[in-house]
Amino acid sequence: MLQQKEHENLLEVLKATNWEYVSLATLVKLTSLEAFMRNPETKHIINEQIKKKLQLSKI
Amino acid sequence: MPKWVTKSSLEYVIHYLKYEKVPENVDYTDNLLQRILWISDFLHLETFQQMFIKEIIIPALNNKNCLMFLTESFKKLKTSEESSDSWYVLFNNSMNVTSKNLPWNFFNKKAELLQINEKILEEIIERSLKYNKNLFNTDQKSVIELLFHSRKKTDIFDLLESQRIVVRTKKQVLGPNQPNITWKLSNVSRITEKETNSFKFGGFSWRLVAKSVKNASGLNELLFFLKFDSPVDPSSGTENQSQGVGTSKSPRFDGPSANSSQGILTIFFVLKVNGQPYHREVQIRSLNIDKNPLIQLCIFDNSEIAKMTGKDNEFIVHLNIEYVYSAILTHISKNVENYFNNTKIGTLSRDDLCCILRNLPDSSFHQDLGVSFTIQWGNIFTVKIVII
Repeated sequence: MLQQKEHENLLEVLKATNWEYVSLATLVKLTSLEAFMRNPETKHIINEQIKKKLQLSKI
Repeated sequence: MPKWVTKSSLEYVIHYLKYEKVPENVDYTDNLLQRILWISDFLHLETFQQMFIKEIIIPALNNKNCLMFLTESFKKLKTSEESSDSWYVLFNNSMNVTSKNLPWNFFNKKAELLQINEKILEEIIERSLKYNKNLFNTDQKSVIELLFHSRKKTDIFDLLESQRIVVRTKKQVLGPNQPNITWKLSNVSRITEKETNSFKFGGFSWRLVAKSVKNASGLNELLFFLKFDSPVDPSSGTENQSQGVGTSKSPRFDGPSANSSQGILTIFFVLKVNGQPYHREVQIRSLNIDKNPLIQLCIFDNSEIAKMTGKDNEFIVHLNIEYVYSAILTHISKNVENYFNNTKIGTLSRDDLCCILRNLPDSSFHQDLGVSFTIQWGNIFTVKIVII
């Protein structure tokens, strides 16, 4: 499991990413990273981005 | 006379000695300039030499001959303790012209460039970054290669680490001649958000910002930021003249172009709160001019805020711009595909990594690479996957 400080660092870094341009394929691959998906905040970011991509692709 | 004395160079010097003026309509080739300089030194013609350096050689310095005169003046200064000021002037001017033409010299006179004393080479690199009008957008490949050479490094993250060490050992950040910004604040517990008037430093306009936030436990914290405001037009006047912020000893304008509007900019600073250093060592922080123009300077928790309440508090920030560090971070961000498998990514600070990610182009290819970079940086995942 990640330490709290490591999660904080990771969250900060994730916020620096321009998710608008991250591909759906990459986002889906991220969901296979256990440590990523165990943390509610990082999981939320990834899932939200996947939802956004899927909605955009419907349009 | 020595063998290197040519007819034309000797005639030139004799003409000057005879008529006390230089001959007219001379075709000053680099070779002729060099030989005349040598003769003046050989014959100890100091008055002539001073005139010749100041009025003939310095105006004739260009991309092709700057390295030659840099070497000439350096040799002279190194071997003679009593060199005249004109040699220092020639040395300094040669460095400036070499700095302004560093990419040209790198591609056309690389071997000669690499022969330069390493400390001088580093000074040239730093001046080159200051002069470069597209500092933040240009991938400084020539600069990075020269830095590898002078530092004897082969890995970009080792190079960054070596620059971090160089910055942290810079003593001048605390020196009396370094620029500093003073902000006096009372009633800190009542601050929700407050900022200074803008002040000018390093070719840019800045502000200090104090902002109160709730932390994860719901307790108040007071954060201090340095906020990038805008580039400054060099013609607009001197620096550090805003009202409401005490300043002293501002540097002359030597920053990049006023057109610089995006990219990574690194600052190193020392913060003093009520006369006491806030950090144990010099702090290095970077910002993205267009995407995240804030540098967090310090954070005060509830108990520290309580200690500061009811009295006047003085915050002094000694600032410097770190051009080499900025260039290395920019280089990594522009070549991220070459580094995302590097096992030393983990040595990057979170601050550096965030700046690199924010500086990536807005394309799926680069942002996907950024995610791979982050995964490698974290080195915390039990499962490794290849994103691309």
